[in-house]
Amino acid sequence: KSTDRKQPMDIAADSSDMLLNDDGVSKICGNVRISQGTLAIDADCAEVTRVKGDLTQVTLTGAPARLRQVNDNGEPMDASAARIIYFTKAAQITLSGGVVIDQPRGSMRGESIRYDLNTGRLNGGGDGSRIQMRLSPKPEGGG
Amino acid sequence: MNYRKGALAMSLLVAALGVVVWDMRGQRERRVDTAVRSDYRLERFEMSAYGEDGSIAFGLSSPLLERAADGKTLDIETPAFVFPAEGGRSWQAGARSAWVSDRAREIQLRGDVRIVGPLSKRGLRTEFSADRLSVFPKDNRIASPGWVTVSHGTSILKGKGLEADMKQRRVKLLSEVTARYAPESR
Repeated sequence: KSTDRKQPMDIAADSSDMLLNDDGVSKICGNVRISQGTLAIDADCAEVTRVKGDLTQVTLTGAPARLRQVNDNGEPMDASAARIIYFTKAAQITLSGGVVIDQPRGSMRGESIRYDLNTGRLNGGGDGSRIQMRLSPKPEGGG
Repeated sequence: MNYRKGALAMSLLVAALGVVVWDMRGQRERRVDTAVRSDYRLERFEMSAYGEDGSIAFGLSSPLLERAADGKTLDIETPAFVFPAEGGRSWQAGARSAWVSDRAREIQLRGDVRIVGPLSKRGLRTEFSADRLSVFPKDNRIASPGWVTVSHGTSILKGKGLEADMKQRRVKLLSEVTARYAPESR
């Protein structure tokens, strides 16, 4: 949901290795589970970047890393990719490496896809890689 | 936080206090474990320890310090340590009690342990809290086998087992880690 990023972000993992500075990167590894409102991401490792004390970016890697979120219309989205980068300030997520996105209205596959958390818009390709989309037919009498 | 100087200073303290023998055994009935007679004890004291270069290594205040009969280790009640940090700032460390090993290789803080760092440029503090936590002055290191909570500004991390290099300001939580990052402050 667009309000997700205004929630605290909770992370659970097996271990962490962090720098105690206002600007620093903490590496958190092992069964990483991130939750923030309806957003949930599972990965092997996460790098949490803070600038001036604020969380600005989380880079997650996995085989694959998985992301789930419910949009403002209540529709669920399931995504998986080798690498997921969450830019918290910009409310943008980039997925790269064998990206698969499933939504009720259809699915999308590609090597690099950008997801806008405010609008729910998905943006793929543009970097030379191709996108495959499959749109689900509207249910009978769906209007 | 220059622990190396701290360790040397603590050793000097042990040596110096060896001269000031103040055996209170007969004066006041205290909860003294008769099996472990203390070599000497200090009550309601404040002290500053200095390193070889004359700069302060740490400050310590406590209601009671006892040197064990083996003449090597110290037991300190509700210690309040102050360790100098860069730029004239300091770390504060407190606990219900502390045990100091021979030649201060290890300072074991026990019970309601809290270590509070100086304000950073952004006005954020680092804090450690645990039930038990050891300071190893010679290696600039702190460690704990148990649950430790580390906070820096609005980020709070908790885990079981801690290893921290205070010179590098690098902290590892070894298992069962949970973290909470508050939404951006602006």
